Amino acid sequence: MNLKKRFALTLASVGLGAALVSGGTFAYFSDTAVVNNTFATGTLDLSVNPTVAFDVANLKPGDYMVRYFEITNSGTLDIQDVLMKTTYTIEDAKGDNGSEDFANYLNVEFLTSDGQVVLLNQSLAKLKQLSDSGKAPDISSLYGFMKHLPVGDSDVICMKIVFTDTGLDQNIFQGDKVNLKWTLEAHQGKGVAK
Amino acid sequence: MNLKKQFALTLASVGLGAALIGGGTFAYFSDTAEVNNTFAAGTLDLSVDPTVVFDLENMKPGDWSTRAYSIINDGTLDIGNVYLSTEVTETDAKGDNGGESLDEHIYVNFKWNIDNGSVPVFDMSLAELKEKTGTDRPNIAEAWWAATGTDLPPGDLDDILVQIEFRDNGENQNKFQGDSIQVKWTFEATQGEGEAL
Repeated sequence: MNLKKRFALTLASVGLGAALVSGGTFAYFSDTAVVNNTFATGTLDLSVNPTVAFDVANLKPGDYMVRYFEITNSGTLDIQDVLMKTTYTIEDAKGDNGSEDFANYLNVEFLTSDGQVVLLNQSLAKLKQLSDSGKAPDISSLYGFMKHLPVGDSDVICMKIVFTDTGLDQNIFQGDKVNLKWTLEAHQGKGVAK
Repeated sequence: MNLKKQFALTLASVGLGAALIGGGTFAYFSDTAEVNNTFAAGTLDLSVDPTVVFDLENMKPGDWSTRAYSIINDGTLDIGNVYLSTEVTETDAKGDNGGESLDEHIYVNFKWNIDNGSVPVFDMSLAELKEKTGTDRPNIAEAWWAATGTDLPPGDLDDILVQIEFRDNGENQNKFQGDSIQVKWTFEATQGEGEAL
C-alpha cells in the first residue's frame, strides 16, 4: 500500500477505535439539575349574611325599615371593591300604575353602623339606573379608612329604606310588590410584584 | 449573543409564557354573592254596611230614630283617620220655609258602640254638620283612638250608633210639613303615620 492509503487507513482505524471505546457517540461531560416551581392562585370569595335582607309586607307611605347585612372576604385574596348591582321587578296589583315606578318612591340610605350619618342616598329606581349604566356603587368604599375588604375582614352594611310619603295620592301602589335583587360583585386589586 | 440581547430574549420568553398560561387574555378574578329582598305595599279599604241608614217618613217634631251600622276595614293596613263629609238636599214641599232650613232642626248624634259601652263621636245639627268640610270634618277614628288607643284594625269593627232627632223647639214648625231631606255621608279613610317595620 502506498503512504497516503496507509495513513488514511490508520486514521480510520483510530476513528473506529475511538468510536468503539465511547460506545459509538461523542458525549460532552454534562450534568442536569432540576428546578421545581409551583404557582398557586389565590381565591376571591365574597360571602353575604343574611341572603335575604328585607322581607317587608303591608307597607304604606311613610313607613321605613332598617336592616343589616354583613359582607365577608372568605377567600385568600384581598377584595378591592364590591359593586352593588340593583335589579328589580314590580307586581302592579291592579295594573293601575301607568308610567309610575314604585321603586322611585323607595329611597335607600346607607347608614354608619350606629345608624347615623347617611353615606349614600338614592331611590331604588336611581340605583338600578346606575347599575345599568355601569356605575353601580362600590359599597366596600363606604366604610372605614381602608377602602376595600382585606382577607378575613367583614363589613356590616346598614341600610334604611323609606317608602316616601309625597303628601299626594299614592293609592296606585296599594297591594303592589317589589322583588329586589342585589348582586354584589367583588373584584381583585391590581397586580403586584411578588 | 451579547448580554443585553440575551436578557431581552429571556424576558420576552417569560412574557409569552405568562400570556399563554392566562389563555391569552388578562382576566380579573371576581366573585359574586346575591341578596334577595321583597317589599309589598298594604291596602287601605273602607266599607260601610248598610249603605242606606235612614229612610224615614212621616216625621214630626220630637220624633227620633236610632240606627246602627258597621264600619269595616277591608284592607290590610290600619286606618288612621275616617273623615265624614255631609251633603244635604232639602225639598221644601210648599215653598214656604222662607230661608229657614229644616236641617237646623235635625240633630245628629254619632256614637261608637264598643263592647264595654258607647263612645261619643259628635252631636250637632245637620246644618252645622254640613258646614264641616276639609280639615273641619269630624274624624270618626279619633273617638275610637281615644277609647281603645289604637288605629282601626283590619276586620269588622264595632258598630256606629246614629241617632237622628227632629227637635221640637216649642214653636210653630208648620212650614216644614211635607218637606224632606236627603243626607249623603261620605267617609274618607286615610292611613296612619309612617312607622318602622
